[in-house]
Amino acid sequence: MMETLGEQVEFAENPEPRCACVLLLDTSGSMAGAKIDALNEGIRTFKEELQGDPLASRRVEVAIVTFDSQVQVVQDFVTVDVFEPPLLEASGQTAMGTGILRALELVRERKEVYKRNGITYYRPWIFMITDGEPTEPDHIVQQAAQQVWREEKNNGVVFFAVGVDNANMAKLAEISVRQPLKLRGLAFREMFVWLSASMQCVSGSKPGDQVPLPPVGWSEI
Amino acid sequence: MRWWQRIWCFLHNLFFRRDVYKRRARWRVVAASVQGSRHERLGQPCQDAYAYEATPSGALIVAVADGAGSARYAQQGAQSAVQAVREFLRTTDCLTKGGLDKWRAIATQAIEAARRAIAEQAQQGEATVSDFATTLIGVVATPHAVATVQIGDGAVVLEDAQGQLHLLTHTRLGEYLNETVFITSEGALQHARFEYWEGEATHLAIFTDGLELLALQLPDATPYPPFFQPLFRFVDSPESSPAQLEAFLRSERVRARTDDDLTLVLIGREGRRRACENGAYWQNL
Repeated sequence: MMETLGEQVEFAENPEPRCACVLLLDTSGSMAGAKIDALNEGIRTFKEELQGDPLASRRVEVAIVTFDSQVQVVQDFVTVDVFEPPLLEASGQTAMGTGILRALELVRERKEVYKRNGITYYRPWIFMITDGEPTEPDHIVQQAAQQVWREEKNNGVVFFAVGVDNANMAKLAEISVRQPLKLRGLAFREMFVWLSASMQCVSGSKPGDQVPLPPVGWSEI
Repeated sequence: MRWWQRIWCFLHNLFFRRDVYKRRARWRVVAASVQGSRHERLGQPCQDAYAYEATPSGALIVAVADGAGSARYAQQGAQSAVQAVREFLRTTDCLTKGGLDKWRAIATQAIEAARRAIAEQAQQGEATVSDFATTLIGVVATPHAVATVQIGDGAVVLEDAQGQLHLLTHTRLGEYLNETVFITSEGALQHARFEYWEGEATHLAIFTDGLELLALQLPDATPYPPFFQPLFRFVDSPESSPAQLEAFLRSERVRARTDDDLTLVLIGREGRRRACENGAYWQNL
């Protein structure tokens, strides 16, 4: 009986629950050089770490939105197993507000896709990394901040902001409901290892959990 | 069966198994809780718990709880919840008659007993009740009805005498998969779901949410027969043991699909004639 129980029982074919994660990345001119290299390296680490967890690699969906003078969806949502890390280059201004608005829109669209297809899902994450401050008109930045606050309040999304180097942390604190974090040096690798561990926690989390995230070891205090 | 076996069976039941004719049910229960692979990785214990007991009057009481991963004492919370519910329901010997209304009153008291048990524990340990956050499913099965109460997720699936599967209770709250309510939550009783199913249940399966995606077909959460039928045959077999069920829940096939703690309580009713129809019965004679 023991040998056969495992063979006899068949499982319902349900679509894997999804955990959407948008990387919202600053690719403005100031990021050029060591920073963008470290960021590219970090994204590759992110993929590798998640791929080591078979469940997370099927459940976590990554999208990448970059903002410089323009906002670009470099990568629309894909599960980690088929995600190919792009090679980002840095130049131009910092259209952060527009970038945030685009990321929020992307998340809303994705949820609609999930709902239409009867896919269960976790609360999506937006993870923003910048080394500066928005160079756009104030009203756009304000609109973005308002939307972030509204979405957070309605539990629509989890929004994290990470400042690198000379980032305007005060400005980030206005935009993000959660305390923005300052990256220690160029510890992108550590940060992405943390992010992938967090995604693994979320994508396998128990119902109703205030998901306990791993300790942040990559930020300045 | 041969004709002489039928006669033997009839005489045997008549003289030694009067319960068969008094419509008293005998239940076979095989249950197991296993730690999920994520808990293993994070060094967390299995935070699921279950308890069951057959009462002298022939009812079977089952309680299953799933402690919240984020709660400090989730494991203790789940344990005391199932014990409190079992203790409470065995003394009431409920459900002979009365339907949903009576059950609702009894089950509400059972939940309150569980909440009290947790509150006491929290007080002793200088912790808050939310440190013991857990979901809870309570089931009472009698030969003619099955009653359930549920706070939080997990599900109860029942097989009737015609072999049809019914999803007796299952809840999903809110937009996200990782949202639920706990018995320690404020206003938990408002979220409680009470069910009373009248009829002869031949099998029951009670499980925590880790098995939901394997056992139920979304989006309607329809019980998936190829999942349940082999398990129900398994519980009917006299050789079935909790260790075998545990091995199944720990198997790679299951772990590839879920990394959550898993609890599965399987119940089979040995109804009329069942005992004699079993091949093993004749071998053991």
